[in-house]
Amino acid sequence: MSKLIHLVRRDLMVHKRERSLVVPALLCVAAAIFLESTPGFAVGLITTVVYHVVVYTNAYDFKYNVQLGYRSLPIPRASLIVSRYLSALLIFILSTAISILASAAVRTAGLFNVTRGWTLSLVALAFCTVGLYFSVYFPIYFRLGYMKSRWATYFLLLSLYTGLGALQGLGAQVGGGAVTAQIFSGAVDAPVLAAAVLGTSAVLALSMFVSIKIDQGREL
Amino acid sequence: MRIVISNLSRDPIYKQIADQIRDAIITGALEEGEALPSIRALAKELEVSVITTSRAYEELEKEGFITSVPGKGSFVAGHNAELIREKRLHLLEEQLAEAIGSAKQMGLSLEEVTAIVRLLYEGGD
Amino acid sequence: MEAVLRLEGVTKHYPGFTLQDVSFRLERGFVMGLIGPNGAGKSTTIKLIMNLIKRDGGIIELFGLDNVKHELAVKERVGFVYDTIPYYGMLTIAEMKSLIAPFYRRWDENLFRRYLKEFDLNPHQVIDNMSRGMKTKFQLAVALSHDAELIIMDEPTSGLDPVFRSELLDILYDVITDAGKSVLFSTHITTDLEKIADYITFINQGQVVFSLPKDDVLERYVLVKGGPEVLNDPRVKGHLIGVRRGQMGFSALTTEADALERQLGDAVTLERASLDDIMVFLVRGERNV
Repeated sequence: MSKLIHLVRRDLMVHKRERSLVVPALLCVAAAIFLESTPGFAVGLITTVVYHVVVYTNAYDFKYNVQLGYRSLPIPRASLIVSRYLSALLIFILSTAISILASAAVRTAGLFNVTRGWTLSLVALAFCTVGLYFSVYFPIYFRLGYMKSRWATYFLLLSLYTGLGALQGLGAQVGGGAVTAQIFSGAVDAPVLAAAVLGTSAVLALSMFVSIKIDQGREL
Repeated sequence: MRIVISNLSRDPIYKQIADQIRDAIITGALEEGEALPSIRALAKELEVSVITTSRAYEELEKEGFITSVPGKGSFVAGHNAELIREKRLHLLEEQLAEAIGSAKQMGLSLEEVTAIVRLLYEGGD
Repeated sequence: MEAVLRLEGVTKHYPGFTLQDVSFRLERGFVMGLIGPNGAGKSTTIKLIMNLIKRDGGIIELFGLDNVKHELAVKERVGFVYDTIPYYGMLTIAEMKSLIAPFYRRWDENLFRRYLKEFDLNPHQVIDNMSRGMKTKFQLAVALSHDAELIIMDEPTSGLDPVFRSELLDILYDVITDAGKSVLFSTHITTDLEKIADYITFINQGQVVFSLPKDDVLERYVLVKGGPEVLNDPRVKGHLIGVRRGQMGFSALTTEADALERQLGDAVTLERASLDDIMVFLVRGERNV
């Protein structure tokens, strides 16, 4: 299992040469800025960043038919699946970190009238959003393969934005915007946060299990 | 040692190899006790398969021209011209016995068989 | 002696194509050529051996182990070379190697470097910028650097010029000097195998036509040529395979060269058949040209 690191490494290394990490990085910075006005959108941006990086990796896997090579190596099939989830998690951590740094920088420099930064609640919200999105994304990807899953997962992402926007709007109406304000100001109780994060993790674990089962039934 | 393979000849390659090594031994180009290349090294050198060189060596060993020591390799056999001649005579007897057996089965008489032998002997290759 | 590879009654069904009852074995230390026309089932067989696809029936064992039950143990000992390199083109040789090597317990870095030098490969070259031949050599370098006992090659030379193919064969001749290594070489370019192969397994339309020592194959099948009148000779009936009839003569394959020579003498010309000839005559069958 310690060899998983090499599988996760490859997901990042494929972006080395291309400039395909510039846009995601910029989006992380943008997210820091949008936290001020529309935190929901900021969370959506983070999700998009992870989506972008993961999809590009999948595209390269498809372009170079890497499955053929990796399935011929002495690597358990389940490891190949689990490593994708771990990569997504790693990218989430990195992009959130970048966004947090960008947020601090922007606020210190007094740019864009940004006063709000990333709170624990917001990070948790981002985690839950990303986690739930990929819980659905990966099984679709493993079931349909890269080519066929592209549109499905793209529309899924758009629906996510719509969903977040709607939630945000709803939250502004319900209880006079108290709940939204709560989340966005980071005043959510720790147990609630913990429950949300654990719940998302459980869903991710279930998704991993489903993906492994799907992959077992697929042939090259 | 000089071995040249012809891919166009209808002679099987293992036979070409065995023939050339045998000639080298008989003419003394290969001396008694001299080490031969391993079957794998020979296969690589001649660009043929391992089974081919292996078969060539097997033939030569059966005929008594070389001996193979497991782990050490193959060597030109203790080169007693008499011994070799004896072995070859023995092989020849076996081959003739088989031919004569067939002839008898067909109902040929000794005269008829002798006539065939004469034809073949005088007819050349 | 244990077979490094054993297939028995292997079957795989696809709509429109079936691999039927494939059986053959490869002993340690030998080279087997898997030949057959395009679409005959060679790649399918290799994918089944590597467990890239699941078999519908039969046994596949490598080193005495079932290739599915002991998949990881088996793959540790197998090196592979495919006709398209299944690795990331944007990475360099060294980078890609760093992603592969950790998975092999017996990876030998010094050996790998020696092969790179021998094959004239620059470890810092980006894979996309390498020629097809270089990519094949890279795969081979990897395959030879983890103490693999069986090297499986699936059409490694298709699309490559004779110069490269000659280079590849030289490398393989070196490989065979190690009695512990075996090679399974699947190709539709039979000239590559003429000399080096110890065994030939011929697959056509999903079935094994024969699996024999190469020398036996070349002794068994002989090319026969003669004038058109010979075809009418009753002594010839049933002894010719895949006759190609022309206005001025015919050519065919036979397994009874000696008998034909004895009976027809100068009326027929007998020649050594190449593996190519054998494959073409057996596959195309009777033909009027």
